[in-house]
Amino acid sequence: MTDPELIARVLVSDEHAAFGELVRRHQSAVRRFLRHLAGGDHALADDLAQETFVQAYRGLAQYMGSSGFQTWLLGIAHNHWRNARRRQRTVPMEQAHLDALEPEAAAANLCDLKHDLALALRDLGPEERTALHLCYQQGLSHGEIADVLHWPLGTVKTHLARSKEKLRPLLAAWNPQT
Amino acid sequence: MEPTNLNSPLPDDERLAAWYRANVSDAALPDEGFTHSVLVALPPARPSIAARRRLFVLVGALIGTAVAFVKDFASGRTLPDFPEFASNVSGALALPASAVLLLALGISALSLWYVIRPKLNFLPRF
Repeated sequence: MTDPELIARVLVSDEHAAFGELVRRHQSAVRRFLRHLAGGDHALADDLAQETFVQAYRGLAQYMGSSGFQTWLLGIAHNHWRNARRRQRTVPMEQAHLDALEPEAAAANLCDLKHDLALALRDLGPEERTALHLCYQQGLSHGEIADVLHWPLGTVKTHLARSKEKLRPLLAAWNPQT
Repeated sequence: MEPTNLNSPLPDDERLAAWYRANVSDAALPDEGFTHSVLVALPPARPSIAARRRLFVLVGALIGTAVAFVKDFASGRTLPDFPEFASNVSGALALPASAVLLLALGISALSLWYVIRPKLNFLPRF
């Protein structure tokens, strides 16, 4: 059964089982995105993911189908994360993700590509990292990223282009010669 | 693992994406009870349209019956006791002239079957 068919079942019959199938399908993408945003705090990420799905359930009638269901969910998740960050007023949470990445990489091998990549990602701004995550990890198009983050399309393209330009020279040594 | 060459050309988009997916991305997360926790947190299901329709039909039938009884009482007629009622019905059913009554009863039975059929899983569905 496709996503639109499951959504129709939830809207018409209020079937929790149909919504459960939607959750099962998209939980990984939503939780990974929130884990990326929330850094190493997996508990916070999962709490926000749960709130995301509950809100999605309540507001399912507002889903117009103009974007993919997963894109719509990621947009809700991003809003929840922004609200949580506003409430907590702590250090930028995403930074913790990079901090968590580094010791593991350092322990393995200081010259490891993973380590260099983690260091290179530190040079990016949070917006650039988030855009890169949605592009590379979630495989979203520029338009879908704009929908999720509520940015103009031009801003998405600028952030992505900038992040790639910053990463290229930092990782050039790993590129095989042609 | 060492960098291949310090004078290498800049990596293209595809290579950057491949490096990112291989070294930064998390694998797909197993559910581990997450879906269940979401379902538990959902608000209770509201009555479906079908359930509301069933309720509407049932309440309508009850009100109609009540109105018919009240009308009978108001007109001064007394209700027959059950044996008399049963014999009247069986008599009516036995007469060929009661075809209309049989038809009405059949329609009522079919309507009731349609209304309660989702709850009766052992009955055939078509």
